[in-house]
Amino acid sequence: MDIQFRLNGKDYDMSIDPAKKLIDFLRDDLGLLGTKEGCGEGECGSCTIIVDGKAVSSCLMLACQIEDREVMTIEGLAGDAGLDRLQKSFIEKGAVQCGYCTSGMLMSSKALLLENPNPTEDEINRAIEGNLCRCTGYNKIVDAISDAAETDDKQ
Amino acid sequence: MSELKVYRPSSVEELVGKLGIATDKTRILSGGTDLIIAMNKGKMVTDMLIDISGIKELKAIKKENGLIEIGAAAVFSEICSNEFIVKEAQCLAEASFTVGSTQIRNMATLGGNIANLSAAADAVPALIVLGATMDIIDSNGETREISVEKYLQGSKESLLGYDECIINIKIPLSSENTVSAFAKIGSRNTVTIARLNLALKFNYNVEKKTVEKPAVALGAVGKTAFRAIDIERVLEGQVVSDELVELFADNLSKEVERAIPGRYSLPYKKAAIKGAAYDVFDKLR
Repeated sequence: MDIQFRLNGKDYDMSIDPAKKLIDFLRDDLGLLGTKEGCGEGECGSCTIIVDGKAVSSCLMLACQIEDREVMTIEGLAGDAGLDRLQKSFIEKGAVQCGYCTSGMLMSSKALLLENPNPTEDEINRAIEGNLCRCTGYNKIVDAISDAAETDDKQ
Repeated sequence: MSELKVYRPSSVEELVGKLGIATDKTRILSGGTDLIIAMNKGKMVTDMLIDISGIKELKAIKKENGLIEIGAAAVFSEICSNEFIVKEAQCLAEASFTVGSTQIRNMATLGGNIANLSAAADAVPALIVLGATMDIIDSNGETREISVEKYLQGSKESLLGYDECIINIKIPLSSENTVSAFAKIGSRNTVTIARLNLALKFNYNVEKKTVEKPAVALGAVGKTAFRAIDIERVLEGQVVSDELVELFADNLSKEVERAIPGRYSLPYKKAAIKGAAYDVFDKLR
């Protein structure tokens, strides 16, 4: 199947195996290893990417489902100016330990801030409710997201 | 290249064409949050997928002709925040709000929730009390209309044939004083499959403070969600009060006992359903 899509700001027009899982397409065909597979069941969130501004689980999608859509993976978060505000906050607030959940957490929180630049703590918790972390106990992740939202505000 | 064929129609017309080449091993892909998991686990032998997630008209939510019309491929995150649904079909908005996680709500669809036939499907009890119907299209382009309740309670023949696809779900608009609510109990607070779900709808007589024309649906206690007609009779004409809520809770408990006798989860569910009953009335306040 030939499809067109936009990924991390770049337009693609290519032939794909439509039945391949999206996460496998991203990792194997496009070499984008930042998106991780944790459970393969859409429960852990480590495979989270952003499609048309919404956080989705790439382990539950097929490659053909990004046709004519705009996709962001973790590789697309940092811009030309450097790390995204969220990434800086995650580092500064100690929200990264083993790093396995981090891509997914950043994608879910980026999707949140794109839609809601001033989330409450409840809204942050809801945005990351589908992202599991075995290391941090979540507090520092929530702090980092809060911090990123507040810092963006001041600018 | 894998052997699995995947078609991605971009219109209902193209969908009908693909239904024409479907076999009994063909599956409709909508949100994928149940289907892809089943495929990953090797639980499904399928020859062909018809992916309807690219059909824009099946994602739309409209209000017209006295109905709210929700496309079968509309996702739960849209449904729970849609202004028509929040205002006129509160129990469906509430049910949609509780499905899965943020990621799952951004992918999972109303049509899939019905067609997957899970006893614990969250939207289903809400759709039942709202009197929802759906349009099912076949490979000849012909549609049949069936109520969600009848679809689930009916025989195997009423269920989707392999050359059929749900295209929309319609909810009749209710009167100004109609209220509805949904409650769910799972093993976790969020991101959980329902162990019990409950929807209640009625017309509230503001003058007399009474319940009129109640509809009650219970899910995750039986093969499929069902309407609790006896409990509706108990509620009809009664004044809304703490006593009524307790009566509602007790009756629901008995209904659960009737529905799942001998199940190991019975002691838990017949107690927990009372919590759902209180939750539902709390939401209506």
